[in-house]
Amino acid sequence: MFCRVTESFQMGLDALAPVGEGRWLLFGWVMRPRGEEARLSFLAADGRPLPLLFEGRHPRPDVCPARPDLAEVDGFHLVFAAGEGERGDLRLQAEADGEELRVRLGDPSIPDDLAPVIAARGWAENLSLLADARRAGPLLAPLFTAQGRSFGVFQDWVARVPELPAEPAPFGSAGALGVGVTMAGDIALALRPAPGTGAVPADSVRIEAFARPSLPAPASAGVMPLCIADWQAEPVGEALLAWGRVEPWTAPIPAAVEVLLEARVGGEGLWARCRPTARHLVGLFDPLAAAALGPEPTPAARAALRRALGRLLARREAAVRGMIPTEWRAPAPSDPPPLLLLTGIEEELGVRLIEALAPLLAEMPPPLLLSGPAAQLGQLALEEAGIAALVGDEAEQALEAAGSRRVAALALRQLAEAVIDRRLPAGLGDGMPTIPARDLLLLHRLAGPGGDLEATRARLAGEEAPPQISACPEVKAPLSAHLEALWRGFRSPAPAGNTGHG
Amino acid sequence: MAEPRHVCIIAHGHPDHSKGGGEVAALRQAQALRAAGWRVTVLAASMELSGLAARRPTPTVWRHAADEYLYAFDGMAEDRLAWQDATRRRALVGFLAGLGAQAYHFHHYWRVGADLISALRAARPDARIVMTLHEMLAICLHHGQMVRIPGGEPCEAAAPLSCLGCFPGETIERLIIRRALLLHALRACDHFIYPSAFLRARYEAWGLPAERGMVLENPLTAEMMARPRVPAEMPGIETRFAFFGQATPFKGIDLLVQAFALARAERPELHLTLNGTTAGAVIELHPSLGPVLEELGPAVAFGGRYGARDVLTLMRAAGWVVLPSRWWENSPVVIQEAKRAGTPLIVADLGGMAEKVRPGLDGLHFRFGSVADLARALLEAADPARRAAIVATLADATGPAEFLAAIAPCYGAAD
Repeated sequence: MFCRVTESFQMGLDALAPVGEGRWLLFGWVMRPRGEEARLSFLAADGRPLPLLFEGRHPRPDVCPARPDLAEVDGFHLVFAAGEGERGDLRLQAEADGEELRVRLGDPSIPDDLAPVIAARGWAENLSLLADARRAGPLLAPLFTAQGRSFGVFQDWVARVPELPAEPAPFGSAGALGVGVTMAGDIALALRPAPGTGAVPADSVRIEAFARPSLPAPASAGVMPLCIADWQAEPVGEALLAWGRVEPWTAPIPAAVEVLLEARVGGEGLWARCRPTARHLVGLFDPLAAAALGPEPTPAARAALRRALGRLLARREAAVRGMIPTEWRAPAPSDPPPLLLLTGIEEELGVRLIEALAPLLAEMPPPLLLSGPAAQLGQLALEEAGIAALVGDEAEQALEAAGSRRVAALALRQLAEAVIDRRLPAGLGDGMPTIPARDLLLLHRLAGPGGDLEATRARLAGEEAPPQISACPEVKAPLSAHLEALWRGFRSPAPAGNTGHG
Repeated sequence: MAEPRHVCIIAHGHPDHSKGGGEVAALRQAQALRAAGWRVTVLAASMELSGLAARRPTPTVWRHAADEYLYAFDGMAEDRLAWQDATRRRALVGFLAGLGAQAYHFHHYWRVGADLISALRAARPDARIVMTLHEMLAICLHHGQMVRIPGGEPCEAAAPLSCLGCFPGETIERLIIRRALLLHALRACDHFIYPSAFLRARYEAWGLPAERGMVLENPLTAEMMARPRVPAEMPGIETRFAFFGQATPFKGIDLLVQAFALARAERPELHLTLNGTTAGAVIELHPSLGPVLEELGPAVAFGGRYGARDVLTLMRAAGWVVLPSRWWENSPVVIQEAKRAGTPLIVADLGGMAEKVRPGLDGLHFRFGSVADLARALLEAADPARRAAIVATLADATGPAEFLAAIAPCYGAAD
């Protein structure tokens, strides 16, 4: 529906739909004299003002004034409360520069079925609506549950957005594009333009992230928009490396995150959606930095990457500071027996040791938590011996659920050393330093030097645990410095260093 | 104690199929015990049975002779130190436990499995478990030889970082875990029999308990010990050297042939016989020896494979038995046999060889790995007076009686 008052005061209404509990969502655009404000309000049939619950504005480059020097255009998403009022009773009032415009919202030319409107609408406006839906919170949550589809009214449109591979890869006009997330809530992006397309402006990337409903979920469950804080994009030559964090920072981050992004590369819009695999911190930045750098980087590009990463990690450090637990202590007599986390189960040989020591492991409080590339084989060996053990996500969930219960973490190598030195069974659980399970998880997710809990255990114990960089050597120095800064306040029970049978 | 006294000997091979020193020692021990009135059941790993089992369903245990059985080890991990197929392991443990022996005597743990030893311990906590160590596989990944891979020099002690020099693909974690696994299983044994003090020192430094260890030489058979010990006195015998063994990279045949060529350049009457191998096998293993052997011509003879019943005769036909090994050796049966034959030895000055051959009394030493020094020793040996003096002091081999007296207490027997 289109309304015109003057050459520079006009309005277009794209859709009006109820969003539950007597609330309505109206979206469209308003053209107003340049420099003037356009005030939008809603009235009942009796002229009574209706509460405006949310107002979101965004650019509408698709609506062009005849005289851009005299007028400018805003898109809007408005949520207002109509109570028991019928659509035919509702009025929109717009005021700008002393002029007034009233529109009857009962006009049937204003569509009320959002899904087809969104499917046909500009993608940039849709991304703005997603951003406004995130800001509006519960007011617009019904948009994501409509029609029993995970993206609700956005589903048809989202399905048309090109899907990005899990690993950084050439994508459209990008030489490389990659997005990653961590279980701690980090979200990062690398965007390198194709050769000859010019630098990507740092402010040209818009990103929205969503938590997918974890299974089993009711059919009506939709995605949940995630707030991203501290988002910053840094230039790496012509490329960008960006980082932000999902808020709230300490909440468990759902494993299934979906990301939608818009960027401008070489003057053209680039759209992508992806479901990045949650990685640990090192695994997040290593491939993305390599993607931003590209093949055969120049010394200048390498220096730019280190500077960019250093700035992003400085923001991260500021966000994390104060959240790192500081204690890893010897058990108190009053402590209940700790859970045992056995890390570093790397291959079949380690599984053999677990099998051989099963009678001893059976004396630990169940369940045993196992970590490492061959942890599942260890789990199987223990299960065959009648011992409950958890690995992978189940082990992390058990740590999550254990809350304040203390955990003793032991590397399989340490267990082997205890066998060699005849320190068993005293070396298993008794007298070992422990840490609350939630603190262990927090440390691992925020400051773990590797994906395996073994790296976090080593760092807890005061051992050097350098980050495992495989794709981009330039990442190592800034990331090591970042991790070192995060761990600086942590007190280990023993002197650092790899001792024993080296 | 149950009568008749019953011991089960478990070995990594049976001499009917594999002539290694450990296999031979295990069977000779069984024969000695039987002769002394013990009931002995022998269970030996079989490559042949394993090959069959890999092709078609085959029972784990196969009767080979009266009270002698073979087992398939195809269900073991690649390193033959553990069982991947727990069913096969259970079958073996069930068989062993079902024998009701009062003692189980393992010769070696390779092809036996650390986990099997632990499982047998659990199944028969009342039985004595004895282990005879034959080389250093638990300590050293390099076939238990403790010889450095890059240069072939002897290795004094295993340590993870040093081992990475030989095995760069390994990790410190793997090496530590491997050691722990094997120590954990071996410590389940009640007694450790080391055929040499050298081997005992190595294993005890590695972690086996000293209080359960004993040095006890592998015995020769009663039949061998009963044969008259008459050293050969034929003229010129001091110039006749002989090697006994298989052509493997660690036996040092290449060293011997090169040293012999050097020595023969000075003393053309010298002669060398390589027993237990053929020219083809030697040249296949050491291609560079082809031209040397061709030049030496009939001065080098190849004796081919030989049986235990012939070995004393063959040794008596030689002036000297030479052991040029490129590793430490434990207690080579060849040394025992040469002593029994009355033939003096020339050995490397290292490990079990140096221990078993007293220099100047049982034979001569040469510097480990040195072609020149071995040539020097060959020339020194080719002196009839020198040989006669050593023959006069040459010690005899260990016989069954001495062995039985020492081993019986390990099985819980008074004699």
